[in-house]
Amino acid sequence: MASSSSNLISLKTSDGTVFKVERALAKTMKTVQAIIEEADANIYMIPIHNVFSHHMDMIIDYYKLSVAGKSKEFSVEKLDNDELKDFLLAVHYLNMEDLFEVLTQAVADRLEKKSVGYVRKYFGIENDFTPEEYAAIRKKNDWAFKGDDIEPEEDEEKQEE
Amino acid sequence: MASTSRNEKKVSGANNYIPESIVFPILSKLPVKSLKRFSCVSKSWTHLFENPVFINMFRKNLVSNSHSLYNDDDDDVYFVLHQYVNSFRWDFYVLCGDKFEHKLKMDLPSSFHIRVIRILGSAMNGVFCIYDCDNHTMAALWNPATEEVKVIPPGSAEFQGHFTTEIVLHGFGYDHVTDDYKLIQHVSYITFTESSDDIHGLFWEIYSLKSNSWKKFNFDIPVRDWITGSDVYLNGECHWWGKVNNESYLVSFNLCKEAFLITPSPIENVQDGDVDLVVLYGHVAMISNRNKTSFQISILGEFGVKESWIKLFDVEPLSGIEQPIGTVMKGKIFFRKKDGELAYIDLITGLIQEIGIEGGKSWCQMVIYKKNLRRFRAINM
Repeated sequence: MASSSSNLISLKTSDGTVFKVERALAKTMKTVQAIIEEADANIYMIPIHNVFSHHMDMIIDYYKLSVAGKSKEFSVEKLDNDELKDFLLAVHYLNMEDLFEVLTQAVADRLEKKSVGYVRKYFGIENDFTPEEYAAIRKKNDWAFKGDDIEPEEDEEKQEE
Repeated sequence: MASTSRNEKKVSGANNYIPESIVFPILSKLPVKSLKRFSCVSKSWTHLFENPVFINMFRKNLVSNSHSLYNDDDDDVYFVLHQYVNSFRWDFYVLCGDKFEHKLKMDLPSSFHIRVIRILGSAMNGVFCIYDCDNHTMAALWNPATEEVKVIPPGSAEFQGHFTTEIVLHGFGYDHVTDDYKLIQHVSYITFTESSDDIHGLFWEIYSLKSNSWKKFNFDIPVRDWITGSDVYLNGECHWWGKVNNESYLVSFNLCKEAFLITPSPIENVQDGDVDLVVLYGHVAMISNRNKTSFQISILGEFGVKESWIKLFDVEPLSGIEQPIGTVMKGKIFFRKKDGELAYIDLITGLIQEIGIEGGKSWCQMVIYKKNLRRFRAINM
């Protein structure tokens, strides 16, 4: 088998697709870069867990835009909140600094007006307050729940019915 | 990291735990209001702002995300340093250059004969409001670039033998709705008797350059706690630190609407003069000075809400810092040290650096200035 001494690195996603990417792009993935550096011989195919082909498509899009100086044109608008979270997890696994900043900002923008209940579900966090503790902290921060643009809390909506 | 299953799951279930190395970078980009609401998510999230790792990230995002009002990248933005030399001499200098290595003396307009001058607030579109800080009876607007000076006419204060008239200027700002420069001051008459000081005849008045006149009104706004305390301007509002019934408040006066809002202090027992205000990346911030040795810098997340004060920094007592000048530029907050040297704290690294310029042994003022060649008299119809 020919070793990949060329400028292309082969990455195999979780769903079995092989992407041949430029070495420069692979360098932006610190995880991949570490694997390459650790390998004794030239490695010919690097498996990237948790990364699907649709993630790689977007990563390549972002890379092409940033090389052209147009990284601000990169948009994740078409992804819903859960798809965005998945993509963020993939980019985090690959340890790609710039794209990670872009995606965490995108998630922050989406979560800004959300309810406490939504955020718990989104991050997979358990409510570890007792009802009394929750009532107290809820009351203390009541001002932060006010505003027409803020998503109402599910349980509080039910109470009013 | 747990590997996902091989089926084409695009969407994660609710049991997918997200590590802190992802959660913090997301949360640190949220505004204070959202973060305070999300403190109800779980116990660990309640203490986000006490977590140094989180606060570090939050601070860095403040610095990189907001667009400075003064366009830090703009080469036309300078510092103007106002130094006390001796009781007969106050000097103004423009500081320019990357390391402030150029110090150019500015000459005060010769028509302005005041012994003890201060700058009120900061420069507004290249215009300063300078006044006599002895008794606040003389004030003028000064644009050094056009060399215009406009002496402010006196307000409605009366001066009579049987009482002492106290005038205190509180703010200087720009009303972008009417394209007008405004001043706000407080007037009171004090009769000193053997048993007490009888304060009466209180009122506030606003000066408008466009009408070239003062307008009285009777709001119950807390007055400054300290006559030479700082005041700042942000987005059409003048802010100062006030005190009423021994309680301290941030007072925010909206120049366009001519209405005010108060925000209680996050700390108790604030002594007069302990708090300085500064504008930090689009937020009003307070620098509080406990025991004259250590400083805390906190930003206000939401006007009117005491719980939305967020502490960003604790400045070490050993740094030799004496007086916060309260000016921020290019991610640095400026101070004067005990030995008179000017220094700054880098808001990202937290490091303190001297700039090699002396501020003056006991006091100095530093404001951000951007040259403006538009004559302000042009707007006085």
